[in-house]
Order: sequence, then C-alpha cells, then structure tokens
Amino acid sequence: MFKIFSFGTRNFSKCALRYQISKERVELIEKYLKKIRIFDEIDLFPADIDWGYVLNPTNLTSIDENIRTRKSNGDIIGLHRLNDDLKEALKTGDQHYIETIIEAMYHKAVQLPNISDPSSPIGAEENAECVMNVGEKKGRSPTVDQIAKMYGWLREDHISLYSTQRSYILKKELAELENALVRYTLNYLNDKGFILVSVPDILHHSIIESCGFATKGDRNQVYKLDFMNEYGKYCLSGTSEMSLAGLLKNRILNHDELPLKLCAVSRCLRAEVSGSEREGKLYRLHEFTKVEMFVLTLGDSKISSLMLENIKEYQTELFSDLGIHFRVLNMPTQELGSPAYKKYDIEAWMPGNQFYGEISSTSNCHSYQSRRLHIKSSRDKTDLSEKQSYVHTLNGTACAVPRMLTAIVESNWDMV
Amino acid sequence: MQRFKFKTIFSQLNRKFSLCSTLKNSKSDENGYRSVPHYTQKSSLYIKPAEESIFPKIISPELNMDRLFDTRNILRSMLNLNLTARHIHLNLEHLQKDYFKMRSLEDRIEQLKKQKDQISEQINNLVKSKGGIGSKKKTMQTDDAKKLLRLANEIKIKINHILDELIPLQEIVNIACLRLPNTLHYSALYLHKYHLNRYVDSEIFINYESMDEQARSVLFEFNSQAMEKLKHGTYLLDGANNWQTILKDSVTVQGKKISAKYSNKNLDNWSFIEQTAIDSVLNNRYLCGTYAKLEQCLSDYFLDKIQHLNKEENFEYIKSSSMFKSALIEGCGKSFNDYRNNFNVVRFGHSASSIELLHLAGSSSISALVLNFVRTSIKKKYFPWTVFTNGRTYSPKKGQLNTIDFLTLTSDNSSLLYKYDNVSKSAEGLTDQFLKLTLDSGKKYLLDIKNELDRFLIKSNCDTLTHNGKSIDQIIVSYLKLFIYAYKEFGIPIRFVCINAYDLNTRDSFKIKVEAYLPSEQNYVAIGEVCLLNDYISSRLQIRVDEESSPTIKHANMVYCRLVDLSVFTQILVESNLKVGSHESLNDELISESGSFNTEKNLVFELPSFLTKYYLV
Repeated sequence: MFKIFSFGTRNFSKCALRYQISKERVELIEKYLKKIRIFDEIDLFPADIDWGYVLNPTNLTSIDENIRTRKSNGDIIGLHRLNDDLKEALKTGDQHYIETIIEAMYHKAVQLPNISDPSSPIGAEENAECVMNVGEKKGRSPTVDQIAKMYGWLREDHISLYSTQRSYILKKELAELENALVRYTLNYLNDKGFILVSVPDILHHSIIESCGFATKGDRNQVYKLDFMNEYGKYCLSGTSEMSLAGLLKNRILNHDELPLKLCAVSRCLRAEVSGSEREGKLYRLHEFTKVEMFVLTLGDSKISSLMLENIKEYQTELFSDLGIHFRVLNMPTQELGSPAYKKYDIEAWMPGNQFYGEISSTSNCHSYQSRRLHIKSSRDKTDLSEKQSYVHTLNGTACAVPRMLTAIVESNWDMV
Repeated sequence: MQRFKFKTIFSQLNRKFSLCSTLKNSKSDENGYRSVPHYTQKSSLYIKPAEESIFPKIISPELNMDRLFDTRNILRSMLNLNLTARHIHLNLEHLQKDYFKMRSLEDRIEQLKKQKDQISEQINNLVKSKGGIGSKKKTMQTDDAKKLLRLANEIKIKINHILDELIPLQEIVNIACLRLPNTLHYSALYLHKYHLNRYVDSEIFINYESMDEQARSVLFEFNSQAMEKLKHGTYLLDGANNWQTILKDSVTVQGKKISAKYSNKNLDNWSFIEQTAIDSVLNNRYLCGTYAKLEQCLSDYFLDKIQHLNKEENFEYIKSSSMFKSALIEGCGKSFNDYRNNFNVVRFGHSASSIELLHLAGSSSISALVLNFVRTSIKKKYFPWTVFTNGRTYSPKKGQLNTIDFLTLTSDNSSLLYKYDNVSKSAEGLTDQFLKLTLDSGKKYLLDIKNELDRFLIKSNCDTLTHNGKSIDQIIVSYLKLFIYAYKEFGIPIRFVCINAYDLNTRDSFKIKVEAYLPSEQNYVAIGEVCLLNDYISSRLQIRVDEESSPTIKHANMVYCRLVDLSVFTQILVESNLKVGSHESLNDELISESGSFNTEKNLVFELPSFLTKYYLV
C-alpha cells in the first residue's frame, strides 16, 4: 500500500495523457477484480465499472468536470495515476502489487459519481429550476406542532430521553391519518400496476453501498448494527429503495418484463443531523414511514427519461388531490448525490412556518445501481447467447408520511 | 478561594481521568472496530451514586423490595416458589441478608444525619444566643462550639465509612432485584403444579393426547369444526407445496379469478416469497405481490375491526418509535448488552462519551407502547388507559414481524398475585394450607375465563370488549374475547394455550398464547398472546398512579396483548383457503406426462368474501 501512494507528488499532467487504455488492460483489470472478494459472504461480484470509459484519457476532462459540478468526492485524477502505476507494475510482474493497485483503482472508480443529464441545471440548490407549480400558496396557519398539541395528537416532550433524538409518538387522528395516507398511496400505485413488496429493514452493508449510499465515513447517515459481534455487517435501511434494489440483484429480466414497477411501505431509519427549529418537529427525523416507488426500465436513456417523467406525473397526481400547494424542481448537479443522473424534487408549501419543504423526490439513476447490483435485461433470459445489457433504475417517493402530515394539516387548517 | 481552586482542579483531573478510563474501554479491535463501553455496565437503570456513568441517569427504578424480602422464611416464600417454578437458581437467603444489611446501614445513615442536623441546629442556636451572625467567628472559638463541631465531624466520618460499605451493597441488591422475575400469577402457579404432577385436569384443559409430555395446556378453542376439512386438504400441501410456493399473481373472489394489474408481465421465475438469509439479517424476508397485498389487507381488516369497537375515552391508536435507549429496554425486562438477542445499533462519535447505543425493537414492541408513559404520573380517573398500534417488531430470533399490539394500564391490582402474601411472611412461610388456597384461586380463575369465553362464543356481545370499569383480571378476559371477535369469521381453528411458569419471560406474570392451525405443518403456531405484566415495567420506569390520598407510591398495572402476527397469520390464511382450480383453466403444462391431473400446480387461493373490500384489487 505504501508503494501506491509513493508517487503522490508526481505531476500527473506530464504523463497520464500519453497513454490510451488498451482492451487488454481492461480485460486484465476485470479478470483480477473477479478474483477479489469485495463483499464477503454475499453473492455479489464487484461493480461492473465501464473501465474503457473511465480510464480513457480523452474522457478525463469531462469526468473531472462532472465531479466538480456535482461537488462529489470522486477522484478521477487519482484513478488515472493508479492506472499509470499499474502499467509500471505489469512490467515487474509482481502479482501482489498488481492486485493491490487494481483493488485501489476499484475503490476509486466506485466512488465516481454518475454522469449528469445535460438538462440538469449546474450548481447549488439555489439554481434549481422550477418546472411546475400546483395550487395556491396559503396564508399563515398554526404549525402542525401547535395543532397537534392542541388536540393531543403528538407526543415529543422527553421522548428523546428514552429513544432517538427528535423521536415522536403520533396519536389518535394523526396516527389514523398516517394509515389513511399509506392506504391512499398504495391504492393509487396498485392501479398504476406497481407490485407491492414487503421489504426487510435490516440489510447487508454491501446492498446499501451498491445503491450509492456510504456506510462508512463521518458523513454517512446509516445506522449500523452490532449484531453477533460483527459491527457494521448489517445496517438499517434508510429507504426501501435499498431493499428493493437488493431484491433484484443478480437478476436478468426479459425485455418484455420491463418496465418493472415495484413499491414498498417501510420504516426509514436515518442517522440524519438535526435541522433548524423553523422546520418544526415532524420534518427532519431519524425515523419515519415512507411509501417508495422503484422502477426498472430498459437500459436506454430515452426510455428511462420518459419513465422519470411518468413517475413525476404519478407524484403530482397523488399530491394534487390532497389540497396542498407544491412546486416541482429540476435539481441542479450539486444536489444529485452520487447515483442520480437526473432528479426532481417536490417541495410543498408549509403554511405554518411559511417555507417550501421537500416532500418527495424522484431520480433516474441510469445504470449506476444496476452495474453495482448486476441487474440486466435481455431479449430472452433463458438464451445465454443473447446480448445482456444493464437496466436503468429509477426511484421516487410516493409518500413520506411526517412531511405529508405537516403539509396536509397546515394547508387544510381552517380556524372556524 | 484556595479551596475552591483546588476543588476545580481536582474535578477537572477527575473528569479527565474518568474520560481516559472510558476511552480505554472503547479502544479499537483488530478489525478497526471499537468496542462498546456500555456493554461492560451491569445496569443502565441503576446508576451508582456519585459516579460518572456511560449511561445518563434518566430513570430511578422504584422497586418494592419490602414486598419481596420482608418475610421470615424466605425459602418458603412466594418469591422462592416463583423462582423454582421458573427454573431460576438464586441464593435468596444471601440476597435477603444483603438486603437487611443494606436497610440497616441506610437506617443508620438516616439516624446519623438526624444527629448531624440536631448538632447544626445546636450550633445555630449557640450563634444566635451569643450575638448572632455578626459574632459568629468569635462564638465558633468557644469550647461548646468546638465540641459540637468535633461531634459533627465525627458523624460525617462515620457516614462516609458507612457509605463505603453501603454503596457497593446497594449496587448488588438493586441490580439483583432489577433482574428478579415478575410476581407469579396464581394461575401460572397452578399450571406449574399441574405439569409437575402430570395430573390431567380435564375440567379445565383440553388435551388431545393426555399422556404426551409435550401436551400443552389448551384452555379454550374455537372454529375447531374446520379442522377436519383442513386436515382433509393437507394432501394438497405435500412436498414442496406450501404457503411459500403456491401463491400466484391472482386471487379468486367468490369463484371469479382476479388478476393483479401487473400480471401481463411474464415474471415466470418471480417468487412471491423471497428468503434472504445473507443479504438481510437472519429471519428477515421479502414478501412480494399477492402475499404482500394479503398482509396489507389483513392489517386493514383487523384495524377496521378495532375501530368498530365502542370507543372509550382512553382508547388510543398510536404510532411510536422503533429504537430505544438501554434503560427502556432493561425496564421492559430485556438485557441491553446481549447483542445475540437484541438488535443493538451503535453510532461511534469522535470521543468515547459520544458513542450512542440504541436498541431496535420495533414500533409495535412493548417498549414502543410503554414509551408513551415512561416517567409519568397518571391520574386515577384516566384508568384504564389503552393504547394500540400496528407496525414492525424486530428480534434476532423471530426476525421482522408485522403485528398489531395493545397495552392497557390500570390502577387495579390483580386479585391473584398478593392475596396470601401476608400469611406467607410468618416464620412458617407458605404453608400447604395456603398453597392449596392459592392453587384453588388460580384454578378458579382459569375456569371463570373458560366459562366466560364459552358464553361469548355463543352470544358475541361487543360491549363486553370494553375495559371501562373492569378489574385487571376481567381486562385479560376482554382481550381473549377480542380474539374470538376478530377471528371467528375466518373459520380457522384457534386455541388459547396457558403458558407454564418456566416458559414465561421475566416480565410476564401470566400469559395465554393464541395459536392457529397451519395446515402445511399440521400443527398450531402462535399468532398472538395476552399477558399480565402487572407493575413490573411501571415500577422500573416510574409509571405511577397519581393518588393524592395515598401516602405510598403506587404503580400502574399493565396487560399486554398481541392481537395478530400478520406475517404468520397470512401464511395460515393462504393455506386454509386453497382450492383446486377448475379443469377448464388447466393448460397443457398442468397435465403430467402420464396424462393425469396434477392438482399441486393448479391450486388457487380463494379470498374470503369479508376481506374483499380490504384487498387491493
């Protein structure tokens, strides 16, 4: 490992661009990676990185530009430096050293973010483009916390002493409203042909990482189990997108089985940092109920982009009937996270605290997740000679209960 | 000022030292993971006084130790009988001795403190008589004052000496008491004796094979007439055919096949039950399509049934948290540091003091229901107070379950717990005569339950399901009736099984498990339970009855009920409602090579008509 980082001071610009990545090199990397067990105990091969693309020096500028516009942690220059080192190592024939470099290259490559859709605005959150406005902004109303307190619908005082921070108990009508919202959403999604899946909330860390969510590092939002003396092997699912993607890993689907539309209701458990007081008590939580959509399409950008628009339509239809005002935003590059190619956020007007709060989002992840989880499609999956291609995955929030409760209660509040 | 400075430095050093010792506990292991300092603690509820603990002191348990140990013959006490019945080995005499010693030391400290107060008062009087505060310095130089100060100092030293002995003793006794099981209900005691003597009490229990050692104490059963039909149909479930393999993406409602909206997909290898032993933690699984919809449908059906009951003022539907701090878990009778039986969630911060330990029990667990009441004092007029919820429970043994759970709090004590406590406190202890009375009371209660359930089965009066104005013993019966009310329509054989003392959890005083018949296993499996928790949890988590007139602290008594384990009951529903599809619908695949009719592949699930309105068609 020491050797790998020994060239840190070398001037990359002088050497890397001279080489074109050869087909043999790509094959060699892929061959070695098959031997390396990235995820222990689980039948998941390393992510199928498009080495020909990422190691091609002609793509370096565009990949680096993409990393910078997304403010991502990816390090394409470091990856290319390792590639140079690999070339040197191949001359020496030191197998252990070669394997170490390839493994390091893999870890750098999986951290690279997805490419961005050209229609996504560039920059930070404030550059988001509003593509739709539904309903009218309501005047100030009491906050959901105040209303709930008035009717004894919410208990949050001292609860965090015995549970997580910002934990809460919904009571009476507010608890019933949660149930009603879930039922309403599931009815709608069933009509649209979604397959309901009951998902596990405790997942192997590799599934979560393959979906593009970090389980290690200071900024991760994943709760880890200390189970059977194996800390971090199993983690709590922050969204059922993780579980649904995990269900489909290593699957090959026929083209006529696509698009495959799945949905799930689950408890989302996130080690999220506290937000501002303005957001209220039912906004940024460690735990909440959510109905999630997860869709697989053919690995064609046109088809998946069309599906993204469809999911956005489902969401707007679902929310339009609930008497809330919301806007749909085409999210800029810095807000996409690693997996998303394009993302729409839906922000509802929260009359109590007079701000737009995110109630839903939908993303097209292209082949980012399917390459990591090996989800493919072919004309005939039983015929192995048929060409297989990676599917595109999309996800969308159909109902994030606490935020929906806030928007609905505050927007439909009438002081008579 | 100098003293103050010294104190500050000392406290800083002390803090640094204790932080170092905590950090030492949290060093990394060979895999780079740090150990969790919380695991080395004996209790998260009892925090040793004047000591920095990794657990914050958020609750002070209020156990009634006198009730346990204030007896002259501990070996013939109800407590010892309880431990024997539960197969718990503990040196009670030793513990009682420690308890008495602790109490005498506490009394001694109390006396010394009184003496110290008297001396302080004498000094104050002396100061007053000699010219007041202005001349205090001069007064304190007098012989009388010096003598009093010397006495006060001696007392202080004595108190410190006693404290050195008392604090470790308090720790031992308190933690031992926190780990003691709940008081045993007389009916559970009766069951224990019944099993011990292998005596078949056919007056109460329905036992199919009376000589079978594994025979369970079946108190009551209903829908048993459906058993013959289900047994007859089990040939359909032979071999690989069971609830995991037979469901398709369609259901039959009143003879009409209703396909799912997505059924145009050629998902030929799509499994409706996806077991995931590695990807997800043990016993967790995916349930897809029809199966997931059925689970949702059943959840809606049961919730609707509950909503139709007469709503009382304190009958609340809640949605609670899933993760809890160690104190709550320990208060509910589970060991917080047992990472084999708990899902422990750990967040490592930058320092040892910022390590967070949480326990994932689920939003429908007892802990989730109890969370609503921790450290509260409830006015007597609000009892009985019932909360119920639907959600998930997690445990390494059972995995992830979807359940509907109830918890009722009442100020009333069960009449079958402490009735003969006073007589058993004599030198003779619990005599055979009183033991017989205890067992008779336990038997009578079981008979009463049986008779009441018989009456309810014939004439289901939903008004009797309410809790208002009922004793805790009657509330248990109400919950059992709720099962008849909720399950009668399914026509699936259900039975109530009394749980023997050695199978009870530490927190349980008395438990009746509700089991339903699963055709593929040709046996009954648990789908719910009714459990008397008494004041076990409330005394540990300070859930009090607010009684102004009462001089002593009184804790709320609890009854817990799991109405349904949806994950299990969906299996039962599927297997109990299978039909062989009509011959017209058979395609070539279903005719085996020999040309015979292959029924195994043509099974259809017929949705009971009363569930149609809840099913996502």
